[in-house]
Amino acid sequence: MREETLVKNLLQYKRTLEGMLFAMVGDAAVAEDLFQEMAVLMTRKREQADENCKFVAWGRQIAINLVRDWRKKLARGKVQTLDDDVLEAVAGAFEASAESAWDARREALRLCSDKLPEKDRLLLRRRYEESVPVEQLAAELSVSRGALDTSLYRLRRALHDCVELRLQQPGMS
Amino acid sequence: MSEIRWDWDFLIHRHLSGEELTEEQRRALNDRLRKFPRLRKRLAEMAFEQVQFRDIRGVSEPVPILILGPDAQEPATAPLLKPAAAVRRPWILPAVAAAACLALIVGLIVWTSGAPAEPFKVVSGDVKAEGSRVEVSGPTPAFVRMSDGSEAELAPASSANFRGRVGDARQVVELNQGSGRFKVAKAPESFRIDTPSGRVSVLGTEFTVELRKQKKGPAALAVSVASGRVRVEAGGQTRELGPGESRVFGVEPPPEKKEPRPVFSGVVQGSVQGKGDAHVLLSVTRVVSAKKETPAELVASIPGRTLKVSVAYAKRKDGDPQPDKIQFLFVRKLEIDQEITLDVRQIKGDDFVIGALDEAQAQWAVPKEEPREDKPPKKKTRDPEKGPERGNKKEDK
Repeated sequence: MREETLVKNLLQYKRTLEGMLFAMVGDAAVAEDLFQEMAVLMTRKREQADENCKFVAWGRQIAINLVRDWRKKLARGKVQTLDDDVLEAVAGAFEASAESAWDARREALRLCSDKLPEKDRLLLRRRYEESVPVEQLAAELSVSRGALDTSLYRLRRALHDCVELRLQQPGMS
Repeated sequence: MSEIRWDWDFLIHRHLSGEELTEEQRRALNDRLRKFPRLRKRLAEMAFEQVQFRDIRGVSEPVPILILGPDAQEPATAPLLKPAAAVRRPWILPAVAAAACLALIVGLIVWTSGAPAEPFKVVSGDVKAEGSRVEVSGPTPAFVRMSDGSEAELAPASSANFRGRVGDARQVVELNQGSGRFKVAKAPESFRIDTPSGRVSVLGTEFTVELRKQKKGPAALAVSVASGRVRVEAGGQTRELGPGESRVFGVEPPPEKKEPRPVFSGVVQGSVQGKGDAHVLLSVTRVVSAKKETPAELVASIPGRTLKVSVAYAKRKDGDPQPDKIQFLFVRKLEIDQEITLDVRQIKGDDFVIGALDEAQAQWAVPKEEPREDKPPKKKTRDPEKGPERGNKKEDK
């Protein structure tokens, strides 16, 4: 694969591959770091990849290996949520959807988040954009950790439902 | 028995929040994910959405840029702009505070204007200009306009080389020291900022660059993007960053955690070959038992070796570690060629310490209630009328 094709693909599929890594490890910062490692590996191995190869499928293989290596390096006894065989199945779910579907989802998410009340938008921003830990955020808002976690969960589910609804509208998907 | 009805979305939410699930929840979620592609899709969608949040809610205000050469001292004046409170991640937080005192700031905003004829022109401010190099010598910022229409506002005590067009880049600025606020004209070709720690190419409009001093080596280059795209080349890596992304390049790797060296721990049998004040040389004939964490190869290597087994030292709250008194007496009582079994723990090579004496060994070392003829003399009872002993000593003299 030529360098420019690789860069183009990395830019195009970055969020999909990062989402894939995140779904497997459950930690956004780790997913980001692993994506960086993935990009380095892909750059090293680009000559072995066909110019027209399925990029996400190639990325999936690398992602699974990276996640397994990362899990091995983790402290012993740290329980991982997903079993080894489930990792592959979860990564496969990203490959199953077309890139255009992810793009549509992204746009729907933007529209839905714009409709959120200001305080919810601020909450999302603090937690997911600025990665403020739940404990710290709970202290700032003078609520319990559990209450905040529940609010975040409800907010995310509401957003997800809104996205699903929007995607069903004509012209969105 | 009725099956628990799990809220799968909640379990996914907890997983994506980095929370540990109970074993029951974990098993249930894994089973469900194995069986149902729909739930796998749901997990994929929720993960994707969470990754998107950073971009979706990305700030739109212009974001300042911080650039500082690794050899630069603290800025002579306060930064031109305070860094915007945007795009903070836990892994960069500790460095942000440290960077505050080193901060030199450059703001990038979309700007267009007519291009001057010269490669660059100092519009105002006291500067020493020599070729492409500009050093701000006055107490106020200097304004420089570049040939592509971009502008730089250099802070006092800053120095930069305005290289103009270099290769594919329409404009290259080498920021060696100090700070500057840049207004970059939009154009298809890139605008580049070279720093001693890396290179940042502006493909879009708004981003932040910061050089953070480290204990060793050159400064780390931290880049965060508010909108548009930038390409960063640093430490042999090239990376494009998009809206809401940030990355630190050239960070010192964390010290490698050394795997604990396997050591022998268990009970050995052997004969005493020699003695010191607080150790015994033990020629091991066999390993009676070994703790399960001791590798089998290590257990097999012990028989036939002569181990130096020392008395264990115990830490004390009130001072230096002291030798275990009972072990000390035990070692003293041992005789050459005496056959013993002993609980030992390897320190390194053939150096071992006594692990724990069993009851019989402790009793042998310090017999209890044994009538002893060499009892220490009773403490003298003081005659209260004589006063403290020290006083007596003085009197004796």
